[in-house]
Amino acid sequence: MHGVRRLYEQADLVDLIALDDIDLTIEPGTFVSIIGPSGCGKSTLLRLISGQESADAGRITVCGLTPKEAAEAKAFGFVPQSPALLPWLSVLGNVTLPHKVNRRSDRGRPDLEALLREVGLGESLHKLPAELSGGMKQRTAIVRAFGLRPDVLLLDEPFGALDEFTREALQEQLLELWEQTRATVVFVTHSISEAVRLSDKVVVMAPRPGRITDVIDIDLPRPRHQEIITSPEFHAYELKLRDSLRDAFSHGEVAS
Amino acid sequence: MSLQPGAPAGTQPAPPRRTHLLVPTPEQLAARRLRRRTRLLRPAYWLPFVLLLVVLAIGWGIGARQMPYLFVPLGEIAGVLSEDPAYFLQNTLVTLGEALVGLGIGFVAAFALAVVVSEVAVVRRAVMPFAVVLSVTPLVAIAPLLVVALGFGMAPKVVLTALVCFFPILINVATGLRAVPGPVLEVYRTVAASRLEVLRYLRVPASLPYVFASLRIVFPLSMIGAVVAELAAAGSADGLGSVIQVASSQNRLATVWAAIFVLAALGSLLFWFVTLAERRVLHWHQP
Ligand SMILES: Nc1ncnc2c1ncn2[C@@H]1O[C@H](COP(=O)(O)OP(=O)(O)O)[C@@H](O)[C@H]1O
Ligand SMILES: [Mg+2]
Repeated sequence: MHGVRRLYEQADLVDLIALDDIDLTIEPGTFVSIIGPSGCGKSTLLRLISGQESADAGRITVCGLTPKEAAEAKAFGFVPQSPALLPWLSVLGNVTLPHKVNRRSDRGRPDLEALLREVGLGESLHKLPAELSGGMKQRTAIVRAFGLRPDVLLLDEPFGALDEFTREALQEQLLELWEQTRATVVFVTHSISEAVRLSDKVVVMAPRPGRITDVIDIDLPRPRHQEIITSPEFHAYELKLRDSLRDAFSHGEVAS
Repeated sequence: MSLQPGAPAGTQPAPPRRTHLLVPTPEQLAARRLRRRTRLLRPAYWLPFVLLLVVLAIGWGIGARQMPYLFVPLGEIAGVLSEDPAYFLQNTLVTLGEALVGLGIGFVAAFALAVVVSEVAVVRRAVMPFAVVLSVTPLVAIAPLLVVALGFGMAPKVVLTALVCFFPILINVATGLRAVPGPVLEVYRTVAASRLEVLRYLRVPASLPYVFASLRIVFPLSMIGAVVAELAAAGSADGLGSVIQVASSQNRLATVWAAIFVLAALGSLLFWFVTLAERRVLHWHQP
């Protein structure tokens, strides 16, 4: 991703620079978090990567393809903030449907039932989304994305609406699934500890205009279980990230 | 059950798994089932309705005495109905046939246009303003013209019914096809679902609640369409509208009222049918 810029024309006809001068390289197979205050263009960045929107300047390549080509090849799995399940399909149906579209590029269906059982949805395979708790819905959404066996997983604040306990349980399950597949993950969050817990690399962004202000490598051993949260190294990374975010904020204030 | 700390593993029965469900005993289950099934038999359910029904019947009796040119005693109406049920049944079937055929044609045409409208912005901009205006226009008013143009057969009735049903269906379904939430679309666009796939797997199912909302409107409308067209072409053909027209011109009030009651019953039946189908198809939907 090089020199990427994205503009939105506002109601007052002035262009808003949602993203400016974004340079970012994500190594295949790594877990990268993007953190920053809301409105700094995190979701926009994901939409550009997945080819939903085009950049106004700069170039993005995904495994050597343009974003649109990559989407066409089913290289992406996407988990939005709301689970976005179809209310008329069962858990299993929701997880299966993405395989029925764009069949030509499908990468084969893993044992979805087993995958669902693995995240604790074994007894809910045939339930409708309305019968599930928020955490179970989001688990379904995660399996829907993982089940595609994508090269790149894009998650946009997937745990933002969940309570603390559910959130930690889901982080754990996300890591377990990821250890098995080792897809590249781009994970948007605004939780500092979540970013440290999950990532190899944390990208810090600032708003107005949306830009990258810092990239922090997280050098903690994997697999990272619950206990790691209380370790001093973890805490040190949290502080570092907090400082970096504060800097990002103050830069933003000076600029505006 | 007490656990013995020293006992070797495997010799004691596994402790019962804790669950979050309280399963009733067979007796409790039977009692609950009975309670659910006989719910409608409890006076609290039917008494208010029956009381009002009695009040209305008494009011009707008074009305029949005060205004004999408008009301007829209920007994006379029942008499007309029981005298020649075949006559009423046959005319009911004619009206019902016209209404349903018209509704079917209107539905298919409106649904097809709704799909085009939701997919092609140019067509939407052209069509939707007309659809909104026409859906609030009392199209039944063109019944006499249709009779003149299409004759006294079934054609004008079917055409009028189809026309009356067309626009409410078009507006509702066009709205429903666009009711897929943004994040859902985004999920399926990131896997490059084609427009046809989005239509088939996302838009059409998402529109079903709107389809049923429109059917609730349109089933009664179809009866109105058929009856109005019959009234406009009276004396020439069958149907409850014709029965009303002919009988009222001959001052046979009991027959007029009998036909109206049959229409009310038929309308209710259709409405009940839609509700039933809706419950079946939309079990996933909570409004
Ligand atoms: N479709 C759009 N049209 C106009 N402005 C938009 C659009 N999408 C996002 N923006 C603007 O771009 C900026 C970044 O938005 P977004 O990427 O959603 O931020 P984040 O996800 O980091 O909260 C915001 O100021 C937002 O108002
Ligand atoms: Mg966002």
